[in-house]
Amino acid sequence: MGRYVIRRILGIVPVLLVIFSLSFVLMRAAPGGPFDAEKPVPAEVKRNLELQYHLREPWCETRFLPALREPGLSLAEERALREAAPGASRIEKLCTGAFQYGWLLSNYVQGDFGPSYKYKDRSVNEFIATGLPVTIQLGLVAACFALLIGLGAGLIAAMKQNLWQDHAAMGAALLGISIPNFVMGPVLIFIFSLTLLWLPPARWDGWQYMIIPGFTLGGVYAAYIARLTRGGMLEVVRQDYIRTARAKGLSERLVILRHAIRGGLLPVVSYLGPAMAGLLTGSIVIERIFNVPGIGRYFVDAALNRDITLAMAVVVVNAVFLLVANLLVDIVLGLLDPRVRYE
Amino acid sequence: MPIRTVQLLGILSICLLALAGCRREGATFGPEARPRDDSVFYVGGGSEPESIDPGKAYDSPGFTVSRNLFEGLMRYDPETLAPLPGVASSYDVDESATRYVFHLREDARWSDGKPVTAHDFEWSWKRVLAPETAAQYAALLWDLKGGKAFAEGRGPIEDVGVQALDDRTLAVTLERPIPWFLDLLAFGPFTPVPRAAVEAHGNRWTRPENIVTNGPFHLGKWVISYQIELEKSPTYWAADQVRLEKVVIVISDDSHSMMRLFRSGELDWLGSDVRPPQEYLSFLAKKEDFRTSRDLATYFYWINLREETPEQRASPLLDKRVRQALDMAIDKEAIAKFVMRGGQRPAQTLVPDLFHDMGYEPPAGNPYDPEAARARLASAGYGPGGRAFPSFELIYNTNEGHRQVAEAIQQMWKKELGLDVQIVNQEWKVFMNNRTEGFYRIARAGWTGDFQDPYTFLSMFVSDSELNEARWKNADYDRLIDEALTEMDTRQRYRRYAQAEAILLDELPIIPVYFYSQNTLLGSWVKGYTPNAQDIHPFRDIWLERR
Amino acid sequence: MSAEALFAGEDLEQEVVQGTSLWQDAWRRLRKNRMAVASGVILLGVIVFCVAGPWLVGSSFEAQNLAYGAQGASWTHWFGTDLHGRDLLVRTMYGGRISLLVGLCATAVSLTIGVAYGAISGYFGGRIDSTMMRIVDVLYTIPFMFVVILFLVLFGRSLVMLFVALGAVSWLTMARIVRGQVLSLKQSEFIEAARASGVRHAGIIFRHLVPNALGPIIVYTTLTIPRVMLEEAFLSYLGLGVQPPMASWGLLVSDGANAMTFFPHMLLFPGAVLTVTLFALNFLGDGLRDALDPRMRT
Repeated sequence: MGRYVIRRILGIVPVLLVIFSLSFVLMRAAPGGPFDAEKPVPAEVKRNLELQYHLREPWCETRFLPALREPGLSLAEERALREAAPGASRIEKLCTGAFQYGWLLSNYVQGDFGPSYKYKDRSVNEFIATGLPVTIQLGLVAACFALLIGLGAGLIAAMKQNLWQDHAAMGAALLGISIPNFVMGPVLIFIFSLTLLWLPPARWDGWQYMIIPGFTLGGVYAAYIARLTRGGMLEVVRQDYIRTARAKGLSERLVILRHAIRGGLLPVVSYLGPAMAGLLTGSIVIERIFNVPGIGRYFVDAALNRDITLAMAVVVVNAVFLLVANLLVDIVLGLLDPRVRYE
Repeated sequence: MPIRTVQLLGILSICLLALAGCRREGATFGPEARPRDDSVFYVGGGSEPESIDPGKAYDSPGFTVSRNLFEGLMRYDPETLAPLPGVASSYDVDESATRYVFHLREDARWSDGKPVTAHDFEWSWKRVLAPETAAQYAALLWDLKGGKAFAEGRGPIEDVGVQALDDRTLAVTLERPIPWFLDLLAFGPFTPVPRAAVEAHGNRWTRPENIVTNGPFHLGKWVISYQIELEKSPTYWAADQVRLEKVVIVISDDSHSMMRLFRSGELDWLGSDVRPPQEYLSFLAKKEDFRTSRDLATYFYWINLREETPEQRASPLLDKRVRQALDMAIDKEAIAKFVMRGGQRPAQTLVPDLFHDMGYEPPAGNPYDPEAARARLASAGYGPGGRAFPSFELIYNTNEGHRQVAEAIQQMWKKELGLDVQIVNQEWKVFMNNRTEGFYRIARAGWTGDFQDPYTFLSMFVSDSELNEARWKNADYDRLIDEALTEMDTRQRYRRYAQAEAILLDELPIIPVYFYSQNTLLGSWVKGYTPNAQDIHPFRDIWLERR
Repeated sequence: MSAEALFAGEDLEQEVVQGTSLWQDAWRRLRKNRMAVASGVILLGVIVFCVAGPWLVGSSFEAQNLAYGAQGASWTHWFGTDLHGRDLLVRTMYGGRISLLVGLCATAVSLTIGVAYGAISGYFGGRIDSTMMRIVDVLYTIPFMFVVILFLVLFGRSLVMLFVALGAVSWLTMARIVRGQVLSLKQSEFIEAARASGVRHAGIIFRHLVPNALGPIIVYTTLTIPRVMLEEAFLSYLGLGVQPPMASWGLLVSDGANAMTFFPHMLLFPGAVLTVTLFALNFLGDGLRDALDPRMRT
């Protein structure tokens, strides 16, 4: 088992490299640059910024488009130069991209996500360091809601199969799946914050701030977990060893709690891996609506701002989470299910 | 089961409706009295500031913060924004109006207790100019003697016209007289930064643990994309005039979330970087805590006049009569009143109407006149009996408000001139790229003045300006603007500006649409707030009054 | 990822389907499932509502009447009007066309890619299979929003791009399911027979393997449609979906969610229609799964 875990962990590295490269290429390919703003900056300033952030590489310019090295070139003249030599210009861009890639990669190897391209005084590490704990906190609250409600509803539904409790629980679960969380959030705020005045409408300042966002985020997962729990339990209840337990005269409750639950929850456990990562990306909307200072918001914002480093960092962090969560799930599955063997 | 689920749904929605129905609808949008009784001022702050380094900042949220942390030679009058003595207690200016000598006050202190000296200013200004700083507002300091040359790497740093004569005397030499020079001195790039901290911590000097400030407030906590806390600075020379103990700037990009925070009383003021969503304005207009005033900003369309590619050379918009026809066919009154609905005024000129009150007599521009517009178009050879007008695109950055304006104008051009215009929205970065590179026919734009002189609007259109996105060139215009700059007398200068703007409006590289307004929500307990042209409200002059 | 999990573990042990009796059986079982039948009827109703509705009501989905904005339900406007005075009933119908279209087209895109990818991977097996599945694993770890946004930015925003972008991020699970099916089917005798009689690879994959994996494919497709519709709604909420004056349910609902403090009707009506449709689609999907694969009943 130890060897299996080590091999899995080593396997994560190349996957991360691929994700790093993919997101880099995607971000570079998108039109528009991080320094395009409403008030355009003077040519000198823009050139300096681009040099600082490795969007311009003197070596590549000298090698492929030496005319660009002319001092005092205006942006318009530079554009004209590039248009006059489209082939060389393209090669120069590729070359610059390669340099930027190498620079970023060497940063990553040293555990540094690089500087933010939009927030000039900030390193991406700071964004992750302040945002990730909050996102994890939010995710944990949501996971608690999801597990409590999901398992509870699922078990009730399984034990009262085809009775009204079953139908109500499963109906509610489907409802949870069918309502987008950007609707659920404002509706809950409207009811509990603005009308009943029980809970604050947004922000992140203590336990009472976590309830509505946690529930909103966890709701969908609660619904899935309820369905999986019910299905898993019903499957197990038909198995021979449960029949044996029943035949031995154990109380129904004991049968469920001591014997069936172990097998019945397997599908839930295997669902938890992707779900945990989903909680991370799912917080995109929740963090916006509730003004929660996590990292979920950057999935969208950083991509739109062309903040290359920040966008790549959240994608990579997300991938690490998903891969680790999957690994943990596989280990837990192995402990729960004797049929699973680590090769 | 299905029946029960449906029943459940029904009951839920009825409850929701009932809740909605029995909501109180008072005279205010937010609470009528302040729910908290501390002296912490909660302000909406828009998006995360890109930088709060006063030398490097260029976005509005960044300036909001740095303005309260750092004080320049001058500071803003909270009502008129006229320059009041800040770190400088007095100044002398010579007859040529190009050499100023500032006398710094003795009690100006950094938050670490050290005095603010003339050397701090000299170093800070040169830092903004230095190419390696890459300050986006560096161009404001190019008017210092030798400033532009140094910024472009052509001159030595010693020749820049700012010099500390001693600890408390600063001499400034300008390349040419600048009538509004004193107004600029309260603005970020002209404020001093703590040399020791900047040199010790590099980019990280603006962190709460490293920063040293000289303004009315000190940086408390800064949680990225969440909130910035400013605390009253005990070392500020006029600390006894500052009544707020603490200001919390709440950061969020989601204006709906901000509206909910204000409604529940968690914000005292929506802030100048958050605007109530346009669709609620008619509803809010009746509320007592809703404020609206005029803004120093114009909404307009660029018309691309580049003639670099064959496609650009074929553009029918190169004919000035066509551009005039386009302008005259737009009912700007209707757009301001029915589309925007938030106190915007129709714009026949580029220079905002706020300047009209300050003695600027605007040229007439092209009045709304569909009949004349059709005649103008016909004289250019289009319309009935002439050529068919080729269809073209109008681009704008994705935004509900921009879309509505574009749609209304599209309809007007179709109805009055029979033009076929496609309106195309583009995501911000793509849009900006296309606009600055000239891949457009007509593109949406907005411009906010940086200081209170029409030059901040008109300088965009001189031939060699990087901001001139139409690539419009007119020698007379350039000459008039140059001449205006030599006029220290405001009325004479404004006359030259008006002549220049008349040329601009005859040639029309742009179509002005409306002048912006500042809409905001402000708790009745907030005192010392006066609406002003640039929406600048220093926290040093604001206080809270509990009932 | 839901259905992914629901299918987990059935990859290898799927029983080989037998003859046509399965379809008859399934149809019989489906008809007995009252909820699934009801869902089907509701869905048909919704489609008729969206396709024929605007034609019956006759008002325009984009005609604005600014003086008559955000009015509640009335006899002239059954669903009320939106902030720009546009009739919400008609907008809901038009929005439904777009949303259903997005759901169907994006699902079709994901179906095409997913089935082809999974079948090829499963059929050839060995190194090809492990490489192809490795790629799927990697793609799984990239958040779909990120890819969709860059996709839309890169290729410009249009309805077609929306289909492609959403489809291009939704095929992964389908590929896994199909691969699992193909893996278990390809050892069976009728495939051996086909191979022995010289049928080419493409023929075996698309004429013999895929049709025999149709059950799970259909079930998963039904479950993909509501998911894609939700994703479109999500994009609309972020301002990246269809552009006004066009409407989709997602756009109407996200506008409504923002405006609900003042104008609850703007959320209530489009929200109810969207929820009912998604509800029905999910129920139908569940019903189909129960019918086609009774062992998987949950």
